[in-house]
Amino acid sequence: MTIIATLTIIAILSPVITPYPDEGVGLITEAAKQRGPQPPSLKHPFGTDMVGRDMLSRVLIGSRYSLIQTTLVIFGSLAIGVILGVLAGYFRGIVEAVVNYAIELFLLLPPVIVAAALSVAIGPGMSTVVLSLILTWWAWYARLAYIQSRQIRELDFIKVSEALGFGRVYVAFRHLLPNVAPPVVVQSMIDTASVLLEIATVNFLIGSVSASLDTPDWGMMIGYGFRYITTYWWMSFFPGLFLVVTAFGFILVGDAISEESSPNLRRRWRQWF
Amino acid sequence: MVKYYVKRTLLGSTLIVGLLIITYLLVYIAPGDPAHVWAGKPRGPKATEAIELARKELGLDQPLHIQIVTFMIRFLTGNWGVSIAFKQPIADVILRSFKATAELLLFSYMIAIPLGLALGIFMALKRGSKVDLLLRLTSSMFISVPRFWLALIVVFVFYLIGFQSLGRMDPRFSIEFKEVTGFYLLDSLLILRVDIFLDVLTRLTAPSLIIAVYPVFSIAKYVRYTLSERFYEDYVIEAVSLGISRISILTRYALRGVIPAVVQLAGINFVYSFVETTIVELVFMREGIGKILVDGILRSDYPLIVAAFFTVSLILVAVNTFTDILQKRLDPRVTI
Repeated sequence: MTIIATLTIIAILSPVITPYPDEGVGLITEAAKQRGPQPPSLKHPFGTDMVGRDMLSRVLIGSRYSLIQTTLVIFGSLAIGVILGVLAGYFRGIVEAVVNYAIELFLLLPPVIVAAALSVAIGPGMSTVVLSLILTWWAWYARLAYIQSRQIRELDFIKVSEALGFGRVYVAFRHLLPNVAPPVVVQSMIDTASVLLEIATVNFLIGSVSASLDTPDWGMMIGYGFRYITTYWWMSFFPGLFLVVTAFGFILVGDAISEESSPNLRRRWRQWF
Repeated sequence: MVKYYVKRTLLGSTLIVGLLIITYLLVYIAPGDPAHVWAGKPRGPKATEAIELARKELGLDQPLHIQIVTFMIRFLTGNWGVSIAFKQPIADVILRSFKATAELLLFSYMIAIPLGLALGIFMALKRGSKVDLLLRLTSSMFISVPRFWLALIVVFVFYLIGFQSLGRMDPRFSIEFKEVTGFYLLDSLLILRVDIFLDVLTRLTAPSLIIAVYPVFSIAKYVRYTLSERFYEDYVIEAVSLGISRISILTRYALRGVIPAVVQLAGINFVYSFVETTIVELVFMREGIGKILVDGILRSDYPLIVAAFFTVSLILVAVNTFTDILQKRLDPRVTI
């Protein structure tokens, strides 16, 4: 929790606390041009990149980009996944079959390749990354929501509201959805770290093909610095370090949540075995 | 039993049809007008006429569903066109790179599954102890390290100590080397060259260990969790009271229920690992799907990327179908 809280504060305050905010967001200032790539020093603790921008500022501001993208992907796939899952679980027959088929299909799509195709089709950028991740990620939540709503559909209160004459769509969204959503949301909190790393992976690919890099995204910075790893190692080392720490924080939170939500392991029984 | 296999395979093949449709839609949203390109980017008074003709020739004036069907027939018969980036038939390029990726991925899973299983059992037996806590922290740590970054650090360290790890094999062997199957480990043995075999093996080990990180720890975590739950089941407690030895309880009763789920988990992880492999092999400068993607993006070789997309998804369909069937064999209660 502390890691995530600190990071969020960094992300919010980053334009104020960074030593060179302009260079952080991608502007190439005159001072930077004269600096060129420099190894880490007291003045630039993380070194400077190819055009002399201060890496510390870029990495700190990059935390914003990572958190925003992760949030967008999770909310996007939750919205699509839960709605489709509930619909499939509630209306049997053709809707169920179609949604289940789509889930099977989209679970298979490899995000990196979807991102590659999209970045040629509509151009590389943050929206491409978020879009390709949502496209491939929603199916997990849809499947979860589907299984949940299939169980809840059989409970009495749903039958009662149907008998009272409420429309089927109304029942699905007013009564079923609120009961299906919580476990799916919990699951999404558990795998935030995977989303973060997947986003970074896609960004790495995009970063490694871009000729110049302005967006201070961690994955992109690593991908961009990867070409110069033997001479300018600090360009991809520090963004990666931040990525590791962030992911570790999310995983610890996720572990705690999943431990709490499984009653079996919390019981302190005598260990027979 | 047989009915299940047939049903599962049928589901797999309908998924392929769905994939083809998505692939075509990807082609459809491609930048630029294909008819314009096909007509040779004409200018002048007759330009519109020429583009219309090209459109008819390509079948783009047909309704979308007919276009999709013709596209499917063309694709399934192996007519994938020529790559812009490599100036070779796309099918050849994909097949070649795919073998490189498959070699790496299979090698890494051969390490990962037994290792993950062993680690998980060990953690379940020691659960609650300090060793277990330490291992759990380590596994969380390793899972949170992005594999491409780990690969970068490894490449950098190898560079510093002067260890050759990039590429699939030492360039000085490339003249004597003959490709038989396209899998270098196998080929080097087939042409009876132990030195090449060792060279290929050392270059394969580092990236495959990095790819194995995720499956090892996720399998270990899962096995630890489900196995510890099983230790509280009544049948295990009864077995203990009957005085059956710990090893036999573990292998004959408790593990029975865990193995099928591990197979399933490995199948799901495979999708994830495929993505990682493309990036890791890029960092290690090996040939493979990752290199195809980069070249494809750099030279705007859209057909190549679409074909790579289709091939990879096809493999994943096959893997998933296979693991489902395997799971059914191990655990007959499973239904679709």
